[in-house]
Amino acid sequence: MAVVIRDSFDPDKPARQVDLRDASMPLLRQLAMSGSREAAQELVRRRERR
Amino acid sequence: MSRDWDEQEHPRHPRGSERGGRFRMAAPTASLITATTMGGWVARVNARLAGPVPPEWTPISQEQYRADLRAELSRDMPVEVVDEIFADYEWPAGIWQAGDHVVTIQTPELLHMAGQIIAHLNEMQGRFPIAQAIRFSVVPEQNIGGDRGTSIPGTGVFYIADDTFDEWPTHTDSGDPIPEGFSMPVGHSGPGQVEQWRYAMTHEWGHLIDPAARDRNLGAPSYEGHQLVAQDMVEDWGEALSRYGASSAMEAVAEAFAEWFLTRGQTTHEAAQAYAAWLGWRWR
Repeated sequence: MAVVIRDSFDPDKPARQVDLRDASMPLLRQLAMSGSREAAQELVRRRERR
Repeated sequence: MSRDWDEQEHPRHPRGSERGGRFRMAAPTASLITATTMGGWVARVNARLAGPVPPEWTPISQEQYRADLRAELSRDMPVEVVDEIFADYEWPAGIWQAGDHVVTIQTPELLHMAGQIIAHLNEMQGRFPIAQAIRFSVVPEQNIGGDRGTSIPGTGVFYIADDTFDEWPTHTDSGDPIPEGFSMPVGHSGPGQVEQWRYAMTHEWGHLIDPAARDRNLGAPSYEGHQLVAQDMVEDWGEALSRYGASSAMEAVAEAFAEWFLTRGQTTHEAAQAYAAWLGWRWR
């Protein structure tokens, strides 16, 4: 599963690498709406698990 | 489990206006941006000042984009799920397409920047191309939980927050002064300082073209080899780069790329040059 790199550019908040499987729903939705098929696929997986 | 700062319900850092001016930019643009609410003619003047959108990029309507995205996402998820997501989505104020590549700007006050944003994207793609379809967005800062830039290496998906169009912050979100050397010289304080949005966009492109990050996401066999060298590089050069770059092997590549690209390969920064030599960056 792909890693998303999240940059804060703020000394108080280090950059993070987040596995899409662990990404929050708002992040997944934003990525899907930005055209990420990987995020769309993860949204489907979570829906199927519900 | 405790929630990370990005998982909270509301923004944790003040919006640009609270930090000293939302989308505050160099004159004369700043005053004109503020005036965009006065009428469409001001927006057109702003667009002329900021430069035209390169001709190969065609504006498309929200309706067209919605239909295209619905078709694209429906390949991976049931259409009712797509529509569920669409219902909560704030549609971009501006959308441009060139072949498979799409740029969206969700913040209406930044539409006049499309020409500069897309020209910069063209230059990065022209000099350091990625094979995947580009999906670049400018998104409202409050939508993305404190991120100012996000990317998925191995794809063409990346976005930056709209508050990167503010002037460079002098203080952190919690109010402390930004430490010396936090970003590369071409960023906060060095000669030839570039705008924050341009730096963030270039830094994210650095992630997209980083071979270790890309190969990790693509499951390429070369990943571990790249990763080992990347780790050696950040151990050797991280401290000399920027504090942000020293935080990980991937951030080091992105920071070095921002410095190197935004100086058109002319940087005298030794650590950035070391990364350029390692990764074979050439200005062509």
